[in-house]
Amino acid sequence: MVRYRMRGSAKTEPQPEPVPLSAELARNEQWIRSVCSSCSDVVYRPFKIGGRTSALLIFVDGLADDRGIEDFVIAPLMREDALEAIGLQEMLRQKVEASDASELETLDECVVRLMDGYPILLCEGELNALALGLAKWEMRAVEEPAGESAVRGPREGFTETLRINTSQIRRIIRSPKLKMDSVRIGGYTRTHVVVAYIQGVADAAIVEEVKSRLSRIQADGILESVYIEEFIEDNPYSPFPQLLDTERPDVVCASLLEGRVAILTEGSPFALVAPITFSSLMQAAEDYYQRYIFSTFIRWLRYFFLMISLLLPSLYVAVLTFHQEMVPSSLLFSMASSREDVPFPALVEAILMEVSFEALREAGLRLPKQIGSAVSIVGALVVGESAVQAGLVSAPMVIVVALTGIASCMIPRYVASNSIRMLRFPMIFLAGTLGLLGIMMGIIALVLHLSSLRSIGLPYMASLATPRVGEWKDVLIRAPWWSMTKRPRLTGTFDQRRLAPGQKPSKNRG
Amino acid sequence: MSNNDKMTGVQLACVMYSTVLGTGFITLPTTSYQYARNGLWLTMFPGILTALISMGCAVKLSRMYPGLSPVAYIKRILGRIPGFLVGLLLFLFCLQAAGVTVRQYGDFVTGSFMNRTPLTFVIASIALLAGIAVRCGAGVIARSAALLTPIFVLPLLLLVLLYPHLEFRYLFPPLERGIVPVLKGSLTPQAWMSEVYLISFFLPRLASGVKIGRWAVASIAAIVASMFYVNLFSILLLGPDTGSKLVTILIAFRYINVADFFENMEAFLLAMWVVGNFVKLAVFYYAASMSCSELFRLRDYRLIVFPVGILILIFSIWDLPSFAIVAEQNLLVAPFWVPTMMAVLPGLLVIAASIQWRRRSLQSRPNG
Repeated sequence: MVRYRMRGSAKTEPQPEPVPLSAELARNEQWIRSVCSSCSDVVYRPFKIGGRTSALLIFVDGLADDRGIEDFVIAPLMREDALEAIGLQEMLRQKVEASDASELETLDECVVRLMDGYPILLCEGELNALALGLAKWEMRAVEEPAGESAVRGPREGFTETLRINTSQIRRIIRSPKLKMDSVRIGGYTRTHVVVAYIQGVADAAIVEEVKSRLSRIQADGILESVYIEEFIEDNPYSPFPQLLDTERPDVVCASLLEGRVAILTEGSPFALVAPITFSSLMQAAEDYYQRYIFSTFIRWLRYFFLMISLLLPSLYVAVLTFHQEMVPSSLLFSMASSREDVPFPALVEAILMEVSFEALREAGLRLPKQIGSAVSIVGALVVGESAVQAGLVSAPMVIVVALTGIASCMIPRYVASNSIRMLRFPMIFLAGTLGLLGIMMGIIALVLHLSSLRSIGLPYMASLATPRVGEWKDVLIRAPWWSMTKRPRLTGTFDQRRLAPGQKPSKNRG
Repeated sequence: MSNNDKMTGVQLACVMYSTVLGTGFITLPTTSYQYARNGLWLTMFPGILTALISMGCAVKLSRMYPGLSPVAYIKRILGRIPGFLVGLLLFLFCLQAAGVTVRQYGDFVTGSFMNRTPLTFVIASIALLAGIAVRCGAGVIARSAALLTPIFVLPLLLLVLLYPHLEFRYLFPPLERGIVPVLKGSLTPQAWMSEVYLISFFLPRLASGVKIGRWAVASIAAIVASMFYVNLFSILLLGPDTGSKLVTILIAFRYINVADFFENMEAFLLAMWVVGNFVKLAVFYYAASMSCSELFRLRDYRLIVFPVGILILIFSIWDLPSFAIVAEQNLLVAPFWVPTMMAVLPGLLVIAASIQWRRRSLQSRPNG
């Protein structure tokens, strides 16, 4: 119902003829006042240019630079007395000391710019209005990205302000080839969205595809980049993220240099990167900032723990329920003795523990920080310990669940680890009903789903399922920089070479 | 961006490997041993010839009729009505072979592990997965084959752990009864290897510039090498007992015991082999669906995927009342029936097509 109404309103959005500005100041003011009625934050500041011509400055309180308005617009204009000599137009051009002043011809435009934060200057007898580039509002300072911390590497993170974010990218890629196309999305929020890419590096078809998908969005508001993600992804029913979200400018720049496209949204510190592959989700920023041998080792560990995170509980359930013979006898005895008092089958036990682990995790995330630690202490230590002592769950199961929990944190992308954690539950059910066969069925289904998934046209498993030796340099291993001479192959045509070959350092090269 | 749906050489090789060996590892050693005895390790080699013929015909035909799948070019070569009949035969063959494949898988699973799970359920569940894969298209089958084949192959490496149990005296005396038993024993393997012809259903989707020949030879070599390896270990481990085991590798895996930790790995093996069977079934299933849709000129083969799946289920149970019949079928029927469809028929097609081409080029030349 709600959705229907939203779609209806987006379609029938009133598009009347734009109202031109009148030469009478009072009529213009009245029109704007009627449109912005009950907007207590809109300020109307009448004054006289050179003591004679009446003028009106309209701005939104808190979105405009008050000091700047007084010092650079009103004060110089009120002092002015050479009005007759050069005419109003010319005088405004000379005297208004704003970095950006654009002329507007309709009242609708005036209101739009006003809502963007630009002060609007209207003058008696003028058919044009001026929008002054004196927008300024309170914004968060650039901070270290909380979700993607790194020991080594830049510590800047994106903020909620789009212009700061684009400037951070521009500071890294100082080339006019870095393009930033902007669009407005959202009927009411009119959110500024920027599509960034490097011309000649990114496949033009991908850029076009992203832009056309963005232009299709019709919504009343875009509050976070997730809204955009859900509108433009290829398969809306997949548990896997098909666009990468990151709050690190360096990650965005690295992706741009690989020929990908970034989407930045006003009001969200998370930029979206597309197209991505599954292996993109297994790459952390820090992989590239530490020694490549160690990074490779960490990457292998990550893939291993990805498997653990997905499969360990279900393997445990399968082995305990169907394939006891696989466990070495001595281990089997200790496991059996620990399960002696447990009244539930392994399946129930596993589901019980995994669900409570997920609940603990979520509770710890949402609670105010002050009681967050209390929850983790009560949850993890007291409940876990006493559940074992009371004989409700066995100690090995607690170990399995804890290990799985840690394993899921090995995935550098939080969103990806969410989807893996969620898929654990169907896997446990399959293991509890069909044993290893069920797990394999689940894996096949998962592989099928992943193989059919696409991210803006690029097959999701592209680098793993279409093995090319050159491309594994950044998938299973992290090759040293001097050997990554080619960009990863995405779709279509692209500029392959990224660095000159033969740069391997050695002592002979001096 | 449709070029992403094209298959690469590695994917092609993975599809072929699993198509032949998906059930090959389960069935071949025991079946071949019936004739070849301790010459079991040699039985794979005569099959290379069949595999090369099938493969060569598939490649040749796909070059003559680029972008066409088998039933389409059969119609083109033989004309409307004979083409329809032969195409129907191919379709029925794919159905029946898919049925036997899924039946072998089902017997393997229910016979060795899930004794109390109904056969129909085991068969239907994998057929459903394969059906989903087929609906997703050739690209998805190829990609998932590339991801799944390593899982399928890896457990074979564990056979090395059997080293202490191997008895080399089982190999002697080599060829004690001459070459004929080995050749008889190689009949079933060569039937299995002729199934590489099914790749021709995928060749229209191959990316341009892929060197088909190289990848085909590589995959045939990999197939022969793995089968040789498996046969060798079967004979070295079990000796004269090989013939009495249903699935020799399974028995071999029971022997593995390293560091008192890796033992009784056969359930693990089951899990890994499900994957290979899945790829094999998906390939046959895809071939059946494609040929059916080409046969009746359907606009979208996706419509008939699940109906074809039900036919496959029927074929897997109908006329195969027991495991013994399946084994007998593998020993007596498959060695002749499968190569007829997968090597002889393509060979005849190549001959017919090249005669046609020659005649046409003679006609088109202005002054004869």
